[in-house]
Amino acid sequence: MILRQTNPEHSVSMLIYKYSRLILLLIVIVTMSILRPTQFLTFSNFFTVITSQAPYLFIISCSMTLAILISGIDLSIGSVLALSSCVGGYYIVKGHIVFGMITALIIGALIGLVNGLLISQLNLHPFLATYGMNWIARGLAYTFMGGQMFYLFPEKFRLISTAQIGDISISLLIAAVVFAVLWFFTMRTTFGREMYMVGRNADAARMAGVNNTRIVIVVFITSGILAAFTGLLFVARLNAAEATIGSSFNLMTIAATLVGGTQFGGGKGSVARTVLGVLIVLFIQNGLNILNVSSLWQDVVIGIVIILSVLIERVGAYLNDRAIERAAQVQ
Amino acid sequence: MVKSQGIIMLTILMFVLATIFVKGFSGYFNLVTLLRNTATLAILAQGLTFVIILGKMNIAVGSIMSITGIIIGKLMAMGVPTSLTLVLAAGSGAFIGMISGVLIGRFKMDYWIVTFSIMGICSGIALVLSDGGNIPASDQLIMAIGNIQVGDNLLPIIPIIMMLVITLVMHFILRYSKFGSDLLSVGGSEKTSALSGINTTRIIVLAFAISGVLASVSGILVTSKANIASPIAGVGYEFDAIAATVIGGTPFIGGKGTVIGSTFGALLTMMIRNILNLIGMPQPIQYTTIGVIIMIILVLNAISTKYEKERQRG
Repeated sequence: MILRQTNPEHSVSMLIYKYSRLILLLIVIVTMSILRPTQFLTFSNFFTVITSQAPYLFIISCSMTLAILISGIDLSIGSVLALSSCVGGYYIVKGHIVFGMITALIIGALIGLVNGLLISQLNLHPFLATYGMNWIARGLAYTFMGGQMFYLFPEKFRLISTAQIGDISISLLIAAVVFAVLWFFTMRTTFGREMYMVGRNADAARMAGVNNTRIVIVVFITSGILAAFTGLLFVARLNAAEATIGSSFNLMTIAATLVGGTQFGGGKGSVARTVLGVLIVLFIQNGLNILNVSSLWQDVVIGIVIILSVLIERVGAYLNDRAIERAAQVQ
Repeated sequence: MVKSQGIIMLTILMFVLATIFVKGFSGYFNLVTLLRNTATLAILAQGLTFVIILGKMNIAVGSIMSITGIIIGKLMAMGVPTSLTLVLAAGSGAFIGMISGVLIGRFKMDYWIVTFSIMGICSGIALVLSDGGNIPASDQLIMAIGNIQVGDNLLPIIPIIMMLVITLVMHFILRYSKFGSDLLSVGGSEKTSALSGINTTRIIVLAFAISGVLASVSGILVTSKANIASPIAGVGYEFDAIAATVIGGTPFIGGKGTVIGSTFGALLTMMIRNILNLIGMPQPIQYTTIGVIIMIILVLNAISTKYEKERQRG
């Protein structure tokens, strides 16, 4: 937003930077459409990506986006997803559906709380705190499962992922609700505004009377709950729970958040941008699948996407500085 | 100046206690294995120490270890002489470290996000090159690096010598060279150092390149131990190396640190792992236990850093 106020001239490079994310999405779609028109550019392919892949990645990417917005990061979400869905799955498989789901969400919230406390109270860097938590939660998940796997979940539980309303999958609707709620809280409430303040400058926010600790803890608890919730949706869809799931989510969600245009330093971005980011990441992945590129390449590509997003951000900041300088000279 | 006496005393104390209370700890074979594992981790931690002295982090070191092993296996399969293979493998680590260093030092990108992405990229490439499985990397020279026959026993003499030599060299670089004092200065304050004429970008790139080379050397040692290259050989090592460095007495704030402390930190970390193994703790619970122990150490470090900052301010 600062961008628009301080930049009187809308130079071409500035405009390109501003819409770089949309351009990127278009480039991916157009390239693939040219390379593999019959497989990529079909209604059913787009429909599959948007209704049955995007919802999951979007919900868990919101965890990451919220954490990054307050200038943090949450590397524990992959393991939180695994641990909570395994423990929850244990009860759900036995028929205690509601109890199992609540247990899963509580585990997510608890781990989020510990993360939040480590970061806000003990000044541990969010990267270290959540990376450590990632190992701890993954170890607990392995211990809990002892090498086995739960499957054959009750049909009633599986409905949270498999039900269809018309042609629309319920998971898409759930993702839409999650988006609406998060968008409202981040953009239209005092809490949201304070969150952005903490992300931009934690010290300034504290001096302005914001309770930073509360913000950090609430954000990490939300992040944990969203991860656990994604875990439940995942288990319902796969009809199986095991300790190994979710390990690729850390990189994927960072990529979706950053490529969507949320800045790594915090304070700039939104969950709405993450919608765009999720689509970019998924279409890249989908494109690679259609091109028959081995799935082993996935992390490589995602890593490069992250670095490029941050580079674009640096270029944008550079252009912005130059525009400000020029404006100052004119005056 | 950071003193490393504390960590040395702690390591000796731990060693004595383990010898007395843990069954099988003082066994000959166990101690040899412990030393071998320590050598791998210590060399990794040395490189990381330089980066942490800069006040930065290279979380990709574990994945550099993995990719090094795979590169060795691939080059050997192509018929490249082993000695050249090893040089190229170490060079690849330097190259990867340099890329991170340039992105961080030149383009001023955040070091966490850069090295985390590099970690994804390296472990991804390792998986792609090896097609997801282990590949053979065995040869007389590589076997000799892992073990040398002394009488009836196979001893990891080269890893231990390398650990000692590298520790000493790194210690001298840090304490008595221009680069070392520049490193400490940039870690203390990048702005002030730049103003006083230090080429900060160069220092940052070099520090990351060094951590890359040493990660590759650790990767070579891991490969030589197993005589096989695994694309996931280095998974989790970065966490142990961070722990070793921090236990060793190099704080995250940057501007100070000790290389010798990191070596003892590595010994202590490996001793903890070894003891958990010996008391028969199952592998999955070990993940969690080690994670918790390391987190406690990091928390203590963070608290003392916070305390120190407040003292400096007040």
